[in-house]
Amino acid sequence: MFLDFLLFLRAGGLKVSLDEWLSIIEGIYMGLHGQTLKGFYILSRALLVKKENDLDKFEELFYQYFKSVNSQRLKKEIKKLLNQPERAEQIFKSYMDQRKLEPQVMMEKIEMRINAAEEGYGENIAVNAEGVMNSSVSAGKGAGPGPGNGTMIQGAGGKSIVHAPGNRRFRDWRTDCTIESRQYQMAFRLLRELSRKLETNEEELDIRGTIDHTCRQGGILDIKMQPPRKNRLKLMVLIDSGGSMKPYEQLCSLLFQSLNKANTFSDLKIYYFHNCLEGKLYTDPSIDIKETVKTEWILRNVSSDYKVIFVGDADMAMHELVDNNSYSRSSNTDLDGITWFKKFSEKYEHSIWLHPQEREENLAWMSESFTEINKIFPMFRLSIDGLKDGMYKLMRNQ
Amino acid sequence: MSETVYQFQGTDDYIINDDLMLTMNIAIKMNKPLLVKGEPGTGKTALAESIAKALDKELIVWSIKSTTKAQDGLYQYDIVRRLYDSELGNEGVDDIKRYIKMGKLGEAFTSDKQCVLLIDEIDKADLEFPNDLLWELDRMEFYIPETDETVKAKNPPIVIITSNAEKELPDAFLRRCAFYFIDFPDKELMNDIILAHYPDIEDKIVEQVLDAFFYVREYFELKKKPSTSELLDWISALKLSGLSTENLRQDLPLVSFLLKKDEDLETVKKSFGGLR
Repeated sequence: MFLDFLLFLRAGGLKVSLDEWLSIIEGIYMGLHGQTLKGFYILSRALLVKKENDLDKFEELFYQYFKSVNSQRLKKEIKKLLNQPERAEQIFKSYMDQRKLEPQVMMEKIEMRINAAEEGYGENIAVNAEGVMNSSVSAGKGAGPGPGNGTMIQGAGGKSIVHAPGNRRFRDWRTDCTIESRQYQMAFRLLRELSRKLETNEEELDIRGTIDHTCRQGGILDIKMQPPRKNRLKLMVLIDSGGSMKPYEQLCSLLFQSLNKANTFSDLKIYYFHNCLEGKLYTDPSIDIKETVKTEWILRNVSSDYKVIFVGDADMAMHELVDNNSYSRSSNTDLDGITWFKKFSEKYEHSIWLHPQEREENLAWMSESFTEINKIFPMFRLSIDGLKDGMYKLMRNQ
Repeated sequence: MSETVYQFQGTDDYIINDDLMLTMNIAIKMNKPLLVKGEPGTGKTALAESIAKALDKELIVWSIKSTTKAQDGLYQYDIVRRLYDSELGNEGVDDIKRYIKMGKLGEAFTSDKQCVLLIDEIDKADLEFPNDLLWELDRMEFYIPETDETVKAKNPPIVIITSNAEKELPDAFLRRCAFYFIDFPDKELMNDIILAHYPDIEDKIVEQVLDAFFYVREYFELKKKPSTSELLDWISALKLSGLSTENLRQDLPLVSFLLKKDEDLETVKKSFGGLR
């Protein structure tokens, strides 16, 4: 039933699970949609849409799918059935069997649906025999979304429930925009590996252990301690600074602040690089040549259980990335960028790249260096969704 | 269908729109918790109160704090008190049940009559919190290992969950809920809401107040926009003070009832200073 609609929603990017779909079918059997399109809209919205960010998408898809349906057409369709009893029987068979209804009731049901279609969608939803609810009271109060603002579901008056396109009142809630500090912090909180097995001197009272041991001692108090449960996750962040990253400075500083505020990691290391990885990394965002560490040193000394996040636009000149004879390099013994990146990805199993750009879906549109780096690191956009996907990736390495 | 079907139609002092009412009824009938989101002050908590009132049921409120754990809602085993009792040799130490205290969820499950359970601001708690409640809300039962008992809801409560969208809720949890997003009311609905709370207020005052309210909400760049509950407080303050409501929009008397943040008050005051 309505399987096409389910597939349509999923194709449109709304993640509808089978469970949710089954509850809709259940709802329809219970008559909760009240045999009207508006009822069906409310029912499916209540059960399928779980985030305000998706409301817009859902409304859009619902409109796309049902735009051709209006009361006139529905009425005509149902009326046709009156003249074709065999076909009607076929359609209603399972419905009638399920409810163990007599065949003559079928005609009544059809009549009822015609009336429902005629009366429009918003009012008198209690057309089905069970009379689940009666909305006429509040409709009379005029407490609906308010006439005149064109929202899609003021159903009265036989007006199509499907709204005028472009009138998308839930648009503000979409998440594909870039982010605020709090949301960053929430995303970083996904990075957690709680454990008591930490190398720490801290201890806290183990109440259960104490009581257990006290009981074993026959009531003589025997206090037990245990290390606290803390996040043992270690994180290293490498940020591209200066040059082509200038436009994204604010975004990066937000990221930096949230990283510091989140403060839940057992260790956090932040380094900076300029455009492309070189033999040296900077410890200060101003890329001061005096404050550097050797990249080789980091690879040797920072253990492989660190999770690594690169932040940068991944736009580099190809000669920086692959040509180790470039005169622009500080010394000739230095490796080229791509080798450094590969070294990192080999050592740190959990590493991702965050880029701040709005990029096309199609990789072919991106710059050459972007494509190269994408082969080494999984890349995510620095937006709420992207960051979160990135964090999941870091945690599970899926 | 022999089961009772509740018809929730709003109460005298809670104006509800069609969509929300239909969604609420769907949730009740399908035995799913209803997750309500929306701007602070749009009446998420009041919804539960009004449902309890309309259906004449007891309302159990479980207010979530940042430290709340799922276990707190089920039951608590007062192990320390039991220890004390055993040291002092008090009677009844053998009876573990004496030291098991039901939490709010447990209370709702063991209640003899069906009740309305409000889990308020679920997003305040830890990220894992909703997941810890999955089984309990799905099956309407939980297990107490200490007494080897399973508490099963005698009458599954109507569950309403509110969230201020501070944190994303886990997908597995969302899948089990029905969802409704309360939009900010428009002028007309707001008019009805005011009338529901102050039936004898003069039309002219309502008009003035609404005009000033939406002006403040839309004209200024505010950190925290005033919402329904602040508007109602403001009206009540204006009524009590007996101040003239002429030129409400220019004077904005007692504006501190609408704006709760110092910065916002500054913003509004500054713009007025500029005008005068």
